Amino acid sequence: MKLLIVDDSNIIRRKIRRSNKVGDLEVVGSACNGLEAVELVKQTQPDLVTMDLTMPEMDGIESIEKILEVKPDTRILVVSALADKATAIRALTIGARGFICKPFTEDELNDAFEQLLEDI
Amino acid sequence: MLLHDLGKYRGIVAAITLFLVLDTCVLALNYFVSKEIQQETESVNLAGRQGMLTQKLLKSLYELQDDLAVNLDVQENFQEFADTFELFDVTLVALKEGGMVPVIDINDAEKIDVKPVNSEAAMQSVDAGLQLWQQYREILGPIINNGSTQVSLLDIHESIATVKETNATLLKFMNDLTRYMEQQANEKTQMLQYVELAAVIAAVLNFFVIMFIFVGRLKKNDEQLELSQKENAEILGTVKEGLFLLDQELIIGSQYSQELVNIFGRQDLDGKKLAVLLKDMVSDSELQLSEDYIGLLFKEHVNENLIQSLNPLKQIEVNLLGATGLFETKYLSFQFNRVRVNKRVSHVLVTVMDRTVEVELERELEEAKTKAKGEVDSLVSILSIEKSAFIDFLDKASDGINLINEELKSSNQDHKAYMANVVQFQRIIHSIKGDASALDVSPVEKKTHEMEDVLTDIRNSDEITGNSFLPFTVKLDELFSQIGSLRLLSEQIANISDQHSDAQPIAQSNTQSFAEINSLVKRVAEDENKMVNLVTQGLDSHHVPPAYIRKVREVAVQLVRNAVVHGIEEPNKRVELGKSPQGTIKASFLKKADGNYSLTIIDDGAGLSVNRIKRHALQNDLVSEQDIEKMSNGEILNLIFQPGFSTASDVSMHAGRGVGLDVIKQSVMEAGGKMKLSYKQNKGCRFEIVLPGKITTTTKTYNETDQNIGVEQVNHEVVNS
Repeated sequence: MKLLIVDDSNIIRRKIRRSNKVGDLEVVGSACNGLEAVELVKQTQPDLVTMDLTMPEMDGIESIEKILEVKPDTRILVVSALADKATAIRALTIGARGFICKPFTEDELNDAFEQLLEDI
Repeated sequence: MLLHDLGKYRGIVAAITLFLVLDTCVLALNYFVSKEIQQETESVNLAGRQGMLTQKLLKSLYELQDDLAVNLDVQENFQEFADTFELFDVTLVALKEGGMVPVIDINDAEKIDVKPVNSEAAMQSVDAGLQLWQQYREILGPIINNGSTQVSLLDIHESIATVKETNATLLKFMNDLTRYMEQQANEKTQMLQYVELAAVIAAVLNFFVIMFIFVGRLKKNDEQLELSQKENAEILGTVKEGLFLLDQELIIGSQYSQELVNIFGRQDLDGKKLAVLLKDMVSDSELQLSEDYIGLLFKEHVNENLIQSLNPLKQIEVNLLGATGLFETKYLSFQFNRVRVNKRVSHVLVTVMDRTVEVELERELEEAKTKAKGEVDSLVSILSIEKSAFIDFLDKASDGINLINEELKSSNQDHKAYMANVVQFQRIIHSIKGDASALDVSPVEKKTHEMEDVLTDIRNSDEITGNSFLPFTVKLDELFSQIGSLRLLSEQIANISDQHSDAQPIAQSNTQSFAEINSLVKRVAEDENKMVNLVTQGLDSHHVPPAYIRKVREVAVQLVRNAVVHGIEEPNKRVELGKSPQGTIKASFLKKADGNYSLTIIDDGAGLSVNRIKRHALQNDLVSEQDIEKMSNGEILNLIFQPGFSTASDVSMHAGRGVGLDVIKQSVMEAGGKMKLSYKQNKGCRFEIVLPGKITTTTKTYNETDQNIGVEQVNHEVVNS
């Protein structure tokens, strides 16, 4: 399973990278904005993508649309703050599979990955 | 369609199929047997015709003989004789071996396919007939072969003799044959009747089987349906949550739990949109968000478990019409779960829970925690306060509460009387707050502060009635229990210290009586962002007579606090005025030469401003504009001792709320003392309280007002600081 981490905060990127469950996955890259994320999806063809919603260059919603155009079966986990529920719901409506809110614990992140990988 | 796809209809389809197969079989059998019977009937007819043909053969021989005797043309009768012979012959052979036989006469083109006879008796008759017919063939055959031109009377004579002799036997054989064949045909007809009867019986039986089994099954299904509906209704009637289904259009399903009706107080939810249920409870944007969220559950790609945290209706506060007809605040929690039919999301199950009790419990728990923390804080402060000072404080607070309680009990008052109550209560509460603050009993300080807020609200309301005091009563009750638990706590601590350290030095406890004033100044100055140095003299139990300890402390606390809050300026301001940034307050107690006691509080603050007092008195309606013009400066200054006067522009924990100096005035009056005030603007203020050397016990209470307070005339001396 290939994982791409998209977040503009390197603390969050590191936290995701270090979680247990991610240890079983192959992290193929990390991006800190939407443009980079789409480019990396083209190059690395990941199975899973963790996606922040508020990022410079290209926001999460647009990135999700582009990523799913490139690779429609990508499983996208939105990792964002709860403040803007509407944007999170929009992200899920257009194709993201799940959501966890920042700040998250390692257990929450592991559970989320387990749920995402359930039927693969 | 495969049989197993038919489900519960499998049986009935099988039964009907069986019925049709049976029917088809019987019909087919009927068809074949009828056909056979028809053929046999024809054969019977042919056999019958054979009997007639034997007679016709003899008759045609006689006619031929007659023709020959009179020399007539024999052609016609000969032909008939030959045809008759031929027809009989063909028919008999066909009855033996099978074959085609002309229907009417030998020349008829229409022929019947005759089957050989197959019953024993008929075969015997045919064989016997054939044997006898052989003689006919031998005699009559050559005549026919020779043709009509060669026929002779003699031949015919001989033929007639032979035929006549055997004709009756041949006729008998043919009649027998007919009878046997008829018998066989009758047997078949009868068999056909039996088969038909059996088929009808089978059909009727089949019908009854279908009726019995399927009506029974239908009835059972109905019973099961009824039972499950009943169980369904019981579940929906009993379940403690509001349950209903939503379809993709977000329309509420026809079945929902009774609790849903109880929660929302409406019955007509069936077929309504979810928005109808929610529109009065949540904002339009929240409603839209909720609808979008539920929409996600119908999207297969979204993981149900990974969107729970986005649920906008996880806990909402709503105001709903309760059973009492009044609006009640409830806390509702909505849960949404997918319902799958054939692996597709068909509906969303909505669970509505009334979490009001839990939320309230959580709040109570939070309050209890705060209270417990308050008690610990109290404990800490009690441990650092001298016991007698603390008991004094509790006694005074209890007295105050009791007094307020008595006043609250008296009813039928008007606005003015209530207003007087408010002012009186403010004084009492402020005084308790002052003590609590001095002793650093923060829970009581906090509570009394809240009570002052409530009283201010009451005071500012247009019309005060008995009901206006309800929120205040609640707080009063809380204060009462606070004081009660503090008393209990102090008693318990006293017990512990009595048991463990009964050798506490008395002197130390005496100096502690007034030590709180120091910490009070520190605290208030910190809160007010001021720098203050307190210098005390004689404020200890060596100098203050025991009977005055409580009073002196009370007055000193209020005046020192007033000095910090109203007198001492902020450091910047002081520097601007050329003073040191740190203000100084001197509090001294001494016995004067005349035997009286004097408590002096001096500060080097802003002093008093007649204009500011004037302005403030007018703003607070303490005097009319006309009256104030006529008043001397002294009279104006006296206004600061009026209940309800305050010079603090904003209300903080420590600033006055229109009570303060009047409380001190009251307290001094009770002891039969006097009060002197002198000041100089921007230089400072000096209060002197003179208490009589001969101490009298006073019975005066808080609410007594005496306008003849012994306040010495104000003068404009420079304060000696």
